[in-house]
Amino acid sequence: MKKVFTFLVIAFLGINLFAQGLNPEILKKVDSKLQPFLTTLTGLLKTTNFSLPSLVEVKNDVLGVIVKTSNVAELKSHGFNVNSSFNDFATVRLNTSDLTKLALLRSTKFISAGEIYYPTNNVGGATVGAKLLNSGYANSTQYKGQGVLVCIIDTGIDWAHLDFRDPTDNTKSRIVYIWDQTLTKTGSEKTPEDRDGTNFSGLNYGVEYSQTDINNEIDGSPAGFVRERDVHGHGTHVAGTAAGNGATRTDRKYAGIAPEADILVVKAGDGSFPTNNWIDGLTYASKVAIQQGKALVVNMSLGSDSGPHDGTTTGEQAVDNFVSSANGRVCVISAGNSGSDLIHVTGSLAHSNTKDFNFNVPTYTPQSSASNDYFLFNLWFDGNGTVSTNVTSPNSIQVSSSSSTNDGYVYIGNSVSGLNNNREVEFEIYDSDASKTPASGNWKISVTNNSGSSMVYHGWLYKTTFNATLTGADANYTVGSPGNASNALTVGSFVTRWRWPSIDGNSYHYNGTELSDDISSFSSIGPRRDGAQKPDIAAPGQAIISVKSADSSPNNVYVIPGDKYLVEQGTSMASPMTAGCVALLLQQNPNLTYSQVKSYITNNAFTDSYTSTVPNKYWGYGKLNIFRAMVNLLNSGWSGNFHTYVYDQWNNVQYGYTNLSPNNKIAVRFTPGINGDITGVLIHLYNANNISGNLSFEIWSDNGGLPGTKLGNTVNYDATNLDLSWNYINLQSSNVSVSSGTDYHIVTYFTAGSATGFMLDDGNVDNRSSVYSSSSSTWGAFNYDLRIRPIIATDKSLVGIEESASLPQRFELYNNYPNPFNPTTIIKYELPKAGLVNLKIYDILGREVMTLVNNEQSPGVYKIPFKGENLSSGVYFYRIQAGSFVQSKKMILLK
Amino acid sequence: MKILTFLLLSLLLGCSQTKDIPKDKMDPALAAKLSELKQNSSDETIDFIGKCNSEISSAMKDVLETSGINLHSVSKDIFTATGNYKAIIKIAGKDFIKWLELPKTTYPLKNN
Repeated sequence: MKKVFTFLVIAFLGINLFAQGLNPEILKKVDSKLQPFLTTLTGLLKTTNFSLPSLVEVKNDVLGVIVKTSNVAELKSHGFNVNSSFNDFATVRLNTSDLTKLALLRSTKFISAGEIYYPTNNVGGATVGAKLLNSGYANSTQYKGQGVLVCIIDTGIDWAHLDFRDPTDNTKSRIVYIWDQTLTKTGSEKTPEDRDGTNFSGLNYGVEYSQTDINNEIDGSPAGFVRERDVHGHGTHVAGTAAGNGATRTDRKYAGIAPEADILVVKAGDGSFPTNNWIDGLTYASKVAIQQGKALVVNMSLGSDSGPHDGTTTGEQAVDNFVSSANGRVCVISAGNSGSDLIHVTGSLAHSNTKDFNFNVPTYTPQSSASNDYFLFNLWFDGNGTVSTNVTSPNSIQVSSSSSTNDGYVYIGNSVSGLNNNREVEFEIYDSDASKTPASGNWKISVTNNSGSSMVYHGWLYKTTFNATLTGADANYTVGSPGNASNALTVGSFVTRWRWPSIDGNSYHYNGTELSDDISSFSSIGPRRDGAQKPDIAAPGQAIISVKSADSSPNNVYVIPGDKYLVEQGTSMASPMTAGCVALLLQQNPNLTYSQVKSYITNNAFTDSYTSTVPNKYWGYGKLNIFRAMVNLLNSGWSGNFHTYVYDQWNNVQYGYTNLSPNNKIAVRFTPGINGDITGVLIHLYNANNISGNLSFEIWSDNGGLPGTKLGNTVNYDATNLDLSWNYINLQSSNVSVSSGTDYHIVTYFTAGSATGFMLDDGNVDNRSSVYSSSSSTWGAFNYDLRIRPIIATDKSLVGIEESASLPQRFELYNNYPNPFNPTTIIKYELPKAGLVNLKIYDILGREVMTLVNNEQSPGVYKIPFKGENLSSGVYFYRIQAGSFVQSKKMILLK
Repeated sequence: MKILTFLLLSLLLGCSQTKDIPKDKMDPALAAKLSELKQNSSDETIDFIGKCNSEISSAMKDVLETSGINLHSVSKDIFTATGNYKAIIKIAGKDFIKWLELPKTTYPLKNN
């Protein structure tokens, strides 16, 4: 009966479609995701079983689409808003009601959904797998941070920058509030407490600007109200990495990790941040998140080398309190930039023994006023025993307590902290009087243990204005505060990009190991003083291209052509990369606790020859891999993965390159270690980019070590968007799946322009590179390793919900496949309605082996991978319970 | 008479002791700042951070606020506030106060 009815409905619609010219041939011209917006005589077509309209982004009834057309001019002549065009493609924004008109144009060949796809070139984002999640590769969902609040506590934000606006209406901001703690309110300005005295009581300083205030400022009615400015530029860059949408450029290649998250900004200082300010910032962010009913990730790219380094400072405990205040609260903090600073000493001091700490103060030119020439040394013991102190200046002046001397003022604080019951001794040698600056030469600080037992000490030369040095110091234990907070996600930095183009016309680069994929030399080193693991994870933090504040004045060396983006390095940059990734996880499950988020991040990190065994004091648990973390969150029994295949070696030489001429080709042979899809490539250009039109990419089979035949589609990338640096190109449309252990080649070429340099290392370690000569039509081996790195991800069928044209009509549990299996099989089931789903594995004795699913699921067809790699061969059962539906099936693991 | 004098002295001593700076409950920087304010008889208000022995209840919050400090935020057992010398000394004497300190300074962690 139902089938007959469906037939009649389709037949009826077909008649109407045909009557209006919308025959099935017209439907073929329109992406299935867009077909619900086609109109007929009877109204919208969405009464039939097309894809969900929600798969396409529509704001204010405006739809972005990509049109393959034989005549771009005709689009314009019919009044369509053509944003850009490339050969026979054009991007168009139109009202949904105009879609049918567009489809009916004779020149229109195909209309595809122009969902905001971010074909981003952000190398860091690609390296950690975020760009794959942005693109919708996993779970048929574009993870861009939708519905999650990303709070940046920093130096403010350039709220006018296009990357922080709604891309469908750039008169609207994505910033929900800015609380500028540095301003004093005037006129009608308000503090958070002024706005809402009930929920924001006590937050009664600074000025808060609402989204409406910002929108009014952007559209100029009224203007001059929002006074917040990011003069420093740090906060803007950090915010761009976490949540910028890249909208300044049409290709959006510098989009951040969570480009559709809501942004909350706390300006806690211009160049420094008092602890109380950012503690208040955490309180404020928490209250805004409660009001908006959203999950919240806070990024703090700030820190200090002073403190006990054990997680007990008030600020660190405030971080712990914040993240445990509710589910969906995460705080991501930079580890620090002291990884190559020799500022730390440690040892054991026996009863009645004395330890001398020697500092060399070089010859320097004192600054004019007081309290600006100094070195500061902070010493902590693992107990509360008493110690006595003595300081000897270069001119042999000795003091045992705080004193003013002709060699400078000596401050000595010697007390037991009420926070950890440990003894702290603070030494500050400074110019309390501008005429008595710290003397150059050797300063000796002597500490005698007067307690009844030996004590372990750690000391840090945590600040100096004249490059004082500490004899015998190392760079261990340099993760800063508040990064040492137990429940923070603390982030170190590693290298992904090491070269960038500058607005001054040159390109600049790092040197040494920072031309590799290694940890950044500056990334602070753990562990904590109490031995606890820090940092937790490492993320890309060098040559990160993100938003430039128009109110800042950085050195042009770091400004990217166009003057809207800026290169920065530091764990400050690695932290927001991670915070953006956390927003993607919270989008999938806003109720995750901080400890769950931390587990997903740390348990799924990359390890390689650089990270060595993890966890360790440099890398924490390794390189951030948000793709695998997300897949693990989606399917608890499965760890899907993606991998970048690297055959070029770091050799401290970055100048090697080969000139490729039009129609010639270069290729790198790769051998994936996983079954999966080609999803992208990293490629490094050198010298001038002389390519006209596209740089093309193809995947070829292998023929005796050289490329054989082309597989899948050619992917063309507009060469004007390439940087003279590493570039990330999305290759999902190549539509090539690869098998583990099989050789393939990634081939690149262009057909128009003149010779362009492609970078290589200066060795031929792997014999994997080859070149194609168009004049001889032959491939031949190339004697260097080209810097071309294919990226492979697990077959998408393994990582989420199966795409389906229609929703299931009934519950169904299918036979697993393959069966028998070793070690992976897929369990497929269908849900006709939403509800709690429980899928468990049992052994033949009925003992529960694993829970694969235990959460609310929407209607749909699910494929859940099950890996039995740690189980012995034998018969197992899988059992599903969804509402009143319960069913079990048998499967065989055969190793 | 001697007893009365003793009691009076004890009382005075006791009162003066409550106005002493309880250095065991605060970091040296705050103690030094309070000494400076006391020496100058200054009514200047300063930002500070406190930690309590337990999560701050509404009763404890009332005590803090009626002590004359301006309480900004409360996060379980941690609070931030502004207050003058008298108010800070007053709350330092409360049993539930574990630790008081001046805010430390943190910095942006960019490296170029």
